[in-house]
Amino acid sequence: MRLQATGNLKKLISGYYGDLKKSAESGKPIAWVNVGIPCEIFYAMDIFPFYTENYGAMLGARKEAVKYSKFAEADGISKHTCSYLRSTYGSLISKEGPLGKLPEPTVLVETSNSCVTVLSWWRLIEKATHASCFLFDSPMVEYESTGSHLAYQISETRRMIRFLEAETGKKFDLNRLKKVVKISNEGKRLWRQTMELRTNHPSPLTGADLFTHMFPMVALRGTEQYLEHLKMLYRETKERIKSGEYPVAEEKHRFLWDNLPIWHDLRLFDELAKKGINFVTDTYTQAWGDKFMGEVALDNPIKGLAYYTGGGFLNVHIKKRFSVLLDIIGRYDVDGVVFHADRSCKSYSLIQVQLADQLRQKGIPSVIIEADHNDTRDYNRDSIIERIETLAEMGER
Amino acid sequence: MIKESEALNEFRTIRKNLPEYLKKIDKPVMGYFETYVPEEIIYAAGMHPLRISPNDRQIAVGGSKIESFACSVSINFLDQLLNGTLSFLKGVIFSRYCDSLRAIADIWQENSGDSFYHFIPYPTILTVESINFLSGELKKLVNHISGYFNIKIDEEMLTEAIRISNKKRLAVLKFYDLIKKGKIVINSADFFSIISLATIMDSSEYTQKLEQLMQQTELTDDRSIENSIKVAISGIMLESTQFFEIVDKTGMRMVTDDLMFGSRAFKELVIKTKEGPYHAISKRYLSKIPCSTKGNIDLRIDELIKDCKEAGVKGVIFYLVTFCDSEECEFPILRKRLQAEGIPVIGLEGGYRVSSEGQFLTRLEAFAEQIGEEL
Ligand code: SF4
Ligand code: SF4
Repeated sequence: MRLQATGNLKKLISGYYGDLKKSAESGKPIAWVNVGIPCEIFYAMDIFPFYTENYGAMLGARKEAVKYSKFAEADGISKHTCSYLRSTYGSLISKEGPLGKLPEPTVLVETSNSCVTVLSWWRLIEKATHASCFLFDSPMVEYESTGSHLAYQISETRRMIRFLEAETGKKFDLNRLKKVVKISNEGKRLWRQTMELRTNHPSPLTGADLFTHMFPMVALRGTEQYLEHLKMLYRETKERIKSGEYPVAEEKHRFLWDNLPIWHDLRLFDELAKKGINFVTDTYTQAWGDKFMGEVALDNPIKGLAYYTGGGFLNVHIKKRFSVLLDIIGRYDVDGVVFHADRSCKSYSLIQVQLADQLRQKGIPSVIIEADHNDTRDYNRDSIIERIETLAEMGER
Repeated sequence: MIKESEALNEFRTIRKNLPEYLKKIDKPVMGYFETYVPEEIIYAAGMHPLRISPNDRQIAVGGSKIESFACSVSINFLDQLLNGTLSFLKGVIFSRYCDSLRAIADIWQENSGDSFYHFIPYPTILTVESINFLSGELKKLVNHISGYFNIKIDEEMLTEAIRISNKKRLAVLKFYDLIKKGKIVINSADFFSIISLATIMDSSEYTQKLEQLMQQTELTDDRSIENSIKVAISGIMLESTQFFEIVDKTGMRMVTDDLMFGSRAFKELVIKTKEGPYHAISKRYLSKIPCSTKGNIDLRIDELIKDCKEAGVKGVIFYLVTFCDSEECEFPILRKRLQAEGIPVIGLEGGYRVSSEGQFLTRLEAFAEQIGEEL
């Protein structure tokens, strides 16, 4: 049984990209941003935030990433770099894509809080679009942004606002931001509650469900449609538990997925579900959960947004990554961990062998599978399924 | 050409027998991996700052501890950390330089036991706030070292360390300048050896030897090397003597570079500021000609073009370490800019060491022929 929210999601996505086009037509400022940048500020300033990762994920899910990556590769970009970078940059320079030619950015805003690769990605975009660019500087932290780090993140947030005002002519209004943040907070609460429902046995959602429904969390925080959607998702998830209609009724294995999903093969989760393997939690959607993007105090929203930018999921060190893993393994009653070694994302993937070792020491079985979140080349689905099944069999023994 | 000078031979010997040299260092050694970690702080602590370079050994244990799509330099670093090669170090200091090294830092943090480990949260931009932030972080580093090793590091010690590092930088810059001007004619392999040792050897000893070398040299009538084709070598962590030897074999000669441990590491001095030494050091490191991992490509390329013109190079050899994302993205931009300036460029890709001469020889010979004709 399909979630009605999934139908609504389609509307949300087409609405978002429709708004992007409308913004371009009406002359409303468009900021190309990457995921670490808090969209609340942009909605409060009436600037359209176009999330490049999101566009990249769309290309991946449509299995079109390679088609556009090839334009980037023809421009000299190596196949080894992040496939979000390649596919979106390829779409930009070829002036082709599911939306046709991408609307021009008024400004570019990037942050270093997820990876160093972003810096290269944005240089390429900058060279291709000639738009002025702002780098929100976010040095790494051990666990969370506090003290001088937090002060620095607050000053970066203010600097970004000054840049946006100067470049777009839009004025920043703190009261408007508070209103947007209030809605954003309500949605975050619902997202957290929905994720908590996954602790149920069996889980009311599959891995694919939550990955799919991340979209509003990434790109629409603070908007009415985001809140409506999250309410719908939460309500339906609860109803599934009440009615006992579970997507994987015979849930033999409760697994955890680490890293981005394989956007071009979300059906992998359905395939595994047939064998009683459900991904009841993952680290990726947790990056939008309360530990990394929690609610923000309304009396000082800039501080709260700065705190979460500074302590983003890929901006913390291994000890926090490991503690989060252990925490959700316990809370979701996970019996096996699948580490997706995503060739594209070194920032996420390169510590997985270490994490797997540490889990082993605690008696938690795991497997590392190699793929790419967007690039379909060199994808070996059969071997991945086989490896995950072996992990499941180990648990049965 | 440099006459066979004592100093040159010493540099060659040290580079060839690096492990021997390292064994003889009589101070506690603190390791780091890239030239954004301020050596001044380590000096001020009475320690020897050692930039770890990829060694020639085949990767063993490190390879099983990290995914195969990490760059081979970082895997080599991890290997050295885990297999005991670096056990003589008193500790290591990391900063977020690239996504691969950041992972090595994390993995080592979990495996370093009680040994000293520090990660500097590093800003990427140059603003008043970023300088202040880094100053604060460097103070934390000093406190960590002081507490861990029970030593006192005061501002006077830092000022003295700054003086020593600046003196070395000035000597290195003079060396580059003499080569650019043709006052010193030296083959690429020797040039590489000398430059790479600047962040490996003791600074005072290094400066003394380099100054000695610069005094001892004079042009000779060895036309074969003097008339070789002048090139610049660009990249990031290219630390294979064999590669530079291959360049020499093709009749080309590096007269300037754009490498992480090369010219990019020495161009700026630490200039005294009224805010004190931490501020001065922070300002210097944030103003460095940026590596591709810092996302400010134009500055780097402008500087490379300027150096190429000053040195009269005929072409640029760009060496890309496979899986080094930042360089993989920056190279196409760099190539376009150089070509627009009429500077031919060849891109080569490989690992942390050259597995066989044939790997690059033919392409480099063809490049030498191409740019040689344009003379
Ligand atoms: S490398 Fe990873 S974190 Fe960086 S843009 Fe790509 S997917 Fe995102
Ligand atoms: S070669 Fe590139 S990816 Fe590898 S350690 Fe150096 S900077 Fe990082």
